[in-house]
Amino acid sequence: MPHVTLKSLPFENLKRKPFRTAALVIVVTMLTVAFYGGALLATNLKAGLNSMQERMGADLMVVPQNTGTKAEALLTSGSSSTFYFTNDIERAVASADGVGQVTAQTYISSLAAACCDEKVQIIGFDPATDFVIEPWITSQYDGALKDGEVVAGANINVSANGTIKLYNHEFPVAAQLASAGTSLDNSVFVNETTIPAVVSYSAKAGHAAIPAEYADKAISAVLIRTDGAEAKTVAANIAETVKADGVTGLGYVYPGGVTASTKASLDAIIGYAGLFLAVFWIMGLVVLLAVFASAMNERKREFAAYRIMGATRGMLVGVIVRESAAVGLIGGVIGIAGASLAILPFNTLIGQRLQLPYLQTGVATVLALVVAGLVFAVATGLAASVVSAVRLSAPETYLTLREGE
Amino acid sequence: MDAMLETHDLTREFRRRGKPFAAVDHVNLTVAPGEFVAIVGRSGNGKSTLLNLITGLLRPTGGSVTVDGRDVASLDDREASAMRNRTIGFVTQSATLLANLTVLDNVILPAAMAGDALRDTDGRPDMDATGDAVPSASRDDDMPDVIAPERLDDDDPLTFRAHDLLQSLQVDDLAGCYPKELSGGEMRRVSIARALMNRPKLLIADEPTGDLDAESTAIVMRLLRDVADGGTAVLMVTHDPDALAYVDRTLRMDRGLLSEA
Amino acid sequence: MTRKLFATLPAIVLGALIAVAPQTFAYVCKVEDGMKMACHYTAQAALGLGVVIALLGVIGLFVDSKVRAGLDIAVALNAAFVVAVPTVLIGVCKGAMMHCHMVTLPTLIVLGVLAVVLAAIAAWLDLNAPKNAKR
Repeated sequence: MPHVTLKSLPFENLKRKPFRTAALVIVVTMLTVAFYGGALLATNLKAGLNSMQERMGADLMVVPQNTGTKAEALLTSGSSSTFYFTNDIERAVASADGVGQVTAQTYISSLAAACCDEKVQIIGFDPATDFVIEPWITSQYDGALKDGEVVAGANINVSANGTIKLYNHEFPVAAQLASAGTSLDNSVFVNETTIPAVVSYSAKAGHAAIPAEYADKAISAVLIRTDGAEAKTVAANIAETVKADGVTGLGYVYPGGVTASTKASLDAIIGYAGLFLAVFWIMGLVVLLAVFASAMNERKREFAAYRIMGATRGMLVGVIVRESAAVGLIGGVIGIAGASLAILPFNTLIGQRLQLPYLQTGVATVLALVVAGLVFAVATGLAASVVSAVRLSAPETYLTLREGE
Repeated sequence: MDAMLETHDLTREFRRRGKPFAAVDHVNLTVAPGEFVAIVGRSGNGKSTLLNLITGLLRPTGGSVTVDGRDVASLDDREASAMRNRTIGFVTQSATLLANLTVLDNVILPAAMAGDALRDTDGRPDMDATGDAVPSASRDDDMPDVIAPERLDDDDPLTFRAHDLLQSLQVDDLAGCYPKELSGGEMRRVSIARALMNRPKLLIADEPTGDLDAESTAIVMRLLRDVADGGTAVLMVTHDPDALAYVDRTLRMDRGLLSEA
Repeated sequence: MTRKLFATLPAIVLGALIAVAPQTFAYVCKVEDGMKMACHYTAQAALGLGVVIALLGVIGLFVDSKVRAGLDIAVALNAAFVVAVPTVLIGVCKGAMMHCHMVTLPTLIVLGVLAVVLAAIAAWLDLNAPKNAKR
């Protein structure tokens, strides 16, 4: 057995005081879980939000009356849905003042077709005019999407033979997209001309998604990029224009506004969480300081013994600093391992429950957070020992052997 | 022969209720190598303050302390610590054994400190395993030259020396124990082994027989006598009359003043 | 006594959770039309493994530390299977939004990893027990 050295002394001290050490480690662990877990969740939410923002190429969506909230839910992260009006509205909208680009999309919520398949959102888009989904798809899939083919979102269960079964029909999957952190991950994309086929399959399956007579002229939303005008102004212009055709009561969704309000509420949550974290940290630090300070009194005699044996003040500070750094490191490792175990495997569930865009960030970011968490934990441990270290390094130390001690 | 320890008009004042008083008052003390000196006196008469001044843990208000030819006041923390580590051995009262370390590690620690951090301030070479600061008399009387076989495999010189010291003090079988498992007399002997670990030239003992029975007192005092006979200067603070039979010279400390008893 | 509880309680609690979770809160897809999906078999395997782990923990309460060290190792190995079953050996449904994929899989991974780590620590403690046996 190797004999004691100055390097091993701090660990002997921690080992021989298991309850004190455990108490200190638990405090640091809790602080690390709060810090690292909070940072990880916040980072994932921000990543989801950024991803959502990137997918929101439209300034304005025109949707059927009273379906505004459904459409918003569809954009962020919510249940899939089916709604539609006729495609002549697209032409009417296109002619309104302030409208730049226009494209139509069709949303159909599928049945849970096969066992173990969730409902998926089928999104029909027009590759010729689309400016919202197409850029994202082409960033990952070069070919043109053929009629009858689908592009699958990240969470879609594509079967081994490269197809997906919807309404008892196997659609060939041309490509599967990377995770976006929004409901788009649970969507499959088809081109507009495939929609009537989808509708007929749904009718055959006994759950007609859209009445057959509308099948080839139903669209769910008209997405608009303005020519620079305010989205609200353009919406008013559109209302004027379609009124001439006898259409009233359209719904208007402002994806930019949805993003902005989501971002605002997210920022507020993160702000409160940060404040809570700061208070929590200060409380934890006070506890650690108190424990270290009381341990110092208890250990006066021990430190006096080191002194009389010829330890310099630097050695004493070194012992206490290494003890506290070790406590910080152990607490940090446990805290990070625990928080990682609680968060990382459950990212799909967390994203679904939060009803907010939630995108698991990449390995590099997680590793950076792990390092930051460890630094935080060790720094917390060191901060707790600062008072003791300062007292130990005072020039005429109070660590003298007293009468009767 | 030059004195190992010499104090000259050594004074240390404290303030008590706003009034200064001298805990140690113009003390002149000389201890030669191989000499065994005892200081007696009631508690609170400045004996511990005197020891703290000699070891450099307290700074004197006036006067000087010279240990092995070096003025203690002129040393910085590093040098003073090296002196405490190398030149002085300190037999503390029982409670200063480190509760977190085994008996063996307690004894080794001063050498570990010397090896780890003080080597560059003090050119003394590492311990050689054949050193004989261990009192020869006690080895002859109580412990013939028997070395437990398993220790022959132990090629670490510090561990070897620590076992050797513990054996000469008849507490080697306790090497793996922690201090709280020891009796007062055993702790005291371990404390002496620790003080002797770095082969000090000056051994200071603070109440070494404080709470011991007559038999343990005799063992400890014989040991200290042997150390002095080996050439080490020994300074002991005590109020145990039984201990005085073993010393060369007895001094009395009374309200900070030192006088021949 | 503390050591004994530390070695056995995690195995008992985690074993029970591993057995119960896939049947309750971390449920797997229901059997429809006699068509059993992978997750169904994963749940069955977890039930068996969980019961074994919990029983090993219970037995550990009544034996001395040397024997318990062996039980701890068995718990760790069984717990490794708890991780392996839903990931490589049997698996769960592929759909990322499926409940068994989203909840059962990570639940079993977390419980399994915790059981492995705690059992390994317990084994280490039990193997080193004799040195401090009298305390």
